[in-house]
Amino acid sequence: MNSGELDILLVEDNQDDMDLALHALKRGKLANNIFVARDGEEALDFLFCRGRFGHRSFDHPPKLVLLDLKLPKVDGMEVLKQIKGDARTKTIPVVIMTSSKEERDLVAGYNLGANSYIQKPVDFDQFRETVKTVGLYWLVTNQPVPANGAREVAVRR
Amino acid sequence: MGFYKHLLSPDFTPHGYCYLWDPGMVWLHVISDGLIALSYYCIPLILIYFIRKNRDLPFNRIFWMFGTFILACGTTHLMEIWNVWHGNYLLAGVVKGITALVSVITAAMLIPLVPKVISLPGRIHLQEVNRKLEEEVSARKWAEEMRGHLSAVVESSDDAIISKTLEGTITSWNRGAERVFGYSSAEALGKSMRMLLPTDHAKEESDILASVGRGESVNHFETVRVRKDGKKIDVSVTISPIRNSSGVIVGASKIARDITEHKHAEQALKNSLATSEAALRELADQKFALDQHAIVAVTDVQGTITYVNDKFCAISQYSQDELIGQNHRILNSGHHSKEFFQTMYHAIANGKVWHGEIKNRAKDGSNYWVDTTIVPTLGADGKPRQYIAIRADITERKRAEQRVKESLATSEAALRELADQKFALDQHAIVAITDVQGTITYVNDKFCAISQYSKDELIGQNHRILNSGHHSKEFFQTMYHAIANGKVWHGEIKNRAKDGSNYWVDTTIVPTLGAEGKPQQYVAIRADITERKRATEVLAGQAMELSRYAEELSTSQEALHTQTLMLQSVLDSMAEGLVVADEKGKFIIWNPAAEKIVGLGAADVPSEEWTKHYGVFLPDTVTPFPSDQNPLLRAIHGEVCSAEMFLRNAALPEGAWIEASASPLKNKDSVARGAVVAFRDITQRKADGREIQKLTDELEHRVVERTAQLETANKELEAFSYSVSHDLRAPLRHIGGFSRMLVEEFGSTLDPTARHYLDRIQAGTQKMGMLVDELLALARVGRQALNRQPSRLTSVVEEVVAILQPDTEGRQVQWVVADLPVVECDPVLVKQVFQNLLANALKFTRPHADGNALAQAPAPRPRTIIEVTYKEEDGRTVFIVRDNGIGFNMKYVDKLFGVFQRLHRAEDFEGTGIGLATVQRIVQKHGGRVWAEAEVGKGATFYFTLAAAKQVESKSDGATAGGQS
Repeated sequence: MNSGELDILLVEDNQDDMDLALHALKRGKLANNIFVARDGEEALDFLFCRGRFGHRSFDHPPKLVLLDLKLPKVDGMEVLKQIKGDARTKTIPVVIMTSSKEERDLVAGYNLGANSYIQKPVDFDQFRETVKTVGLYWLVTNQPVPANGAREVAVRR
Repeated sequence: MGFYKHLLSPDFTPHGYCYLWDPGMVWLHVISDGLIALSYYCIPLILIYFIRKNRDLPFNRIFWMFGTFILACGTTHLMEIWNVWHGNYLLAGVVKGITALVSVITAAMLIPLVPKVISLPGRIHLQEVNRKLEEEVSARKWAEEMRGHLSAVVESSDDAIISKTLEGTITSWNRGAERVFGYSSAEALGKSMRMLLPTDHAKEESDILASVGRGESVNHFETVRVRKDGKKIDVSVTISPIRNSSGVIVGASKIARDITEHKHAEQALKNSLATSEAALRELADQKFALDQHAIVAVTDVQGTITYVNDKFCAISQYSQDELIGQNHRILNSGHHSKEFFQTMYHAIANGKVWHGEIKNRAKDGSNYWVDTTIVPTLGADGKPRQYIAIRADITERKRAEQRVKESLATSEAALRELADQKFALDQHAIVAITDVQGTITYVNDKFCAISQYSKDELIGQNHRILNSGHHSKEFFQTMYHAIANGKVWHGEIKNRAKDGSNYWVDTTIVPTLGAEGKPQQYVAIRADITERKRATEVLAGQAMELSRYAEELSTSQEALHTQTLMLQSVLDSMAEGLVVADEKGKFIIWNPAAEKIVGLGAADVPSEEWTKHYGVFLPDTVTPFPSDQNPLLRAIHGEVCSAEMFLRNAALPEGAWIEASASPLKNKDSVARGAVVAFRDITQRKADGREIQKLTDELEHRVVERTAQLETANKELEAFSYSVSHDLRAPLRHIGGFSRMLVEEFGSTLDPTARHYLDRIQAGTQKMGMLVDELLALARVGRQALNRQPSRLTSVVEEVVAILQPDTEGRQVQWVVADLPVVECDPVLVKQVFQNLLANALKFTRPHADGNALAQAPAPRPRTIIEVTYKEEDGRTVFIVRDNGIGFNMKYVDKLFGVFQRLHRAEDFEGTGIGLATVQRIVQKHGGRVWAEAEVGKGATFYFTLAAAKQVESKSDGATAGGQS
């Protein structure tokens, strides 16, 4: 994993979900530059370039964060809150991808600034389709905020 | 001689024998004859008196004959009486003969008189004659009077008035004639008129007489006549013919006026003209004097000014040159009316002096007032030649008058206002004014109306005239004291009206104070309150009567006895203890219930030992009840009170609770005569109360506990469903995902059986996912609060139909949706109801490719009809969803709405068995209910309501569904 261009930060503790998600992304030809954080703490360290990721620079944020809510150590909502609460990271698109579609989670997610909220479909075909759609939208269709004016947006297929 | 003897001898049987001497018969005849005789004798006496009084009565003789005839008749009746006893019938026959003779003569005399009597004038005729006579007399009188007046006029006239015959012989000669001609009337009468003619006028008289004879008059003919003393005089003569009553001229009247003086005056004037210069000078002097004092102007008859003096110029501000030649109208101020000037001109044009006040306008436009006298100067023809106006300036006086008028107007307005106020007052109040002595000086109409006196009867009278005698002397003294000191007095007075009836007035007397602060008069304003007073009196009377009845009742021994008996039986039978003690604390009544409750009877112990004797304690059950707090003792001292006590004595070892209330007993003079205490045993109630309190406490405790448990359970349930939604789905997804990947990536290497198993795994996960979703939805319905709002259910149904559209592909489905009402409900949840019911309807009308299902269906259903309608029933709206699908057997209807309960095999119709349970949950949450009717192969109908039924129908809930099978 180089420290340069990064497309997606996948925050997922469950091995099965991770594999299925990566499979789906791969099918959608979106899996080239993915980093997977296995808990909330790791995700935050990664995003705020600290601890293990001290060498990382804020110049190269991920173009999309796919965030699960049920996470060990620091849960998804807390991660979302910190991302959206910091000027350096708040422009990063965060899509909540979770099993729950409880109303209170939806409301809380959007209130904290989530850009999108997706319930993982039980049906695998639907799941794959959803993941592909989301990835394409945020990585290809959407125009991100120009960061420091220097970074070039690399589009890979 | 023999005849007379015979005449007087009673030779015959007396008439009494004919009556058989029956006394009744005898006396009947005797008395009747006596009365007839008496009357017959009276009549001629009255007639004679009548004739004597009316001496001029005609037919005197016939009256005498009548008198004689009636006298004779009377005598025959006397003879009848005589003959009852004597039988002198000869004498009686002679008397009768005389009577017959007289009557025949009278009748004979009467016959020739009849026509005369008939021709006698009637009364009305006489009155008419009389009236005519009176008229004649009065006409005569008037003529006499007129003659008197005329002769007086003739006599007093200065003119000579003479009448003469056509021959010229003098027939009358008045005093004026005596004076004018010098002859006395005695000397003149019978002489010829010619003696008055001078020789040179001798022919004149015959000419005059000739014209008079022709009926002509001679008017104001001036001529010359000769007086007795030979002096010639100038006379003006008027001669008129005199006609007798048949119009024939019989003579002439002559009026001659001596105009010698007049002629002399004319002469004198002529003479004075000769001395005109001197006269004019004198006039000029007079004019000068006039000019000094007066405003003088002369105008001609057209009103053109011909002369003005200096004062005229000064007041009018015009110069003489400016005025002379102008019409007098130049000074008109416009103040006076046209009529004013017309009256003035009319007077002066007719030669009369006019006097008046005129407002004129000066040159500078200011006005001035002049007191004006206009004197017309008459020409020889008697018509005005010019007008001399003499004026005096009265402008100042007029101004002063105006000021007075203005101030009068102001005070008038004030007076009018006062009058208005007085009027208003008069309309509403009874008003009177008296002077300080109480003499009435003014009353209004209402006062008169209520007192029944007229104003005239009241004014000048002392106000005491109305005193009813009802009030004390002190009452009036207080009143007079107040008003005499200038204070307003207010009170209610009973007065007496003229007819003696009394009336009440609410009275306010206001003294009018003079300059020195003492009352000058009193103004009394009253309102009639008689009705109110009367009502009060009636009430008082009724109250008196009532109290009298009450007294009567209480003194009635029998009533008292009955009452006593009744009271005794009440006392004996009542459940409450009742004890009465006298003022010394000695028990008078102690009823059986009291003995039962206390356990003891009335004891003759002093009140301070009651507590000890009866074992009375405070509610703490151990402290002896303080004697001074004992309700009965307190009531004896006049207090109404109640208390709760505990009793424990030898008869009540367990103790008893009583509740006592006591009140003082008073006699009818409100003197305390003891007290009564009523009490009852409340031991049981006390115990019950404690038990209830204990149970309530327990219940409350339990409720709190249960609530806490319920809340915990609720939280757990929430956590459970949350984790179900989250954690249960993840593994499903994994199973599904990986099995799918297995098929995709290694499918070609697997044998068909392995692939089939993998498909089954896929289907299983899908179904499990659906189950989880629906279970969660069901759980949410339980947890969610209803969000009721008016919802148009037609749109809700239309939305659901749109959602279900994909499932109808390849099928013929007819949706029949009625126009549903707007109802109060949670539209999101009701949408779920319709979604479940319509999805079911769609599902169970589906034709089957599966042979098993086809075998069960009695006939193919080419066309699906799903109806959504409603009906009003018992004031509720019942929604109906009907399909023409396979239906179901009504014996399973009670399983229809249970969770995971299914009436069809999963192979035939997919489903989780949660849908209808959710429907029921939602409907029940709305306070409604849901039921169904069906028959195998003939479709199913679902009914539901949303609002709670008016009747409580919870127990018939299941029965309704079953009963309709």
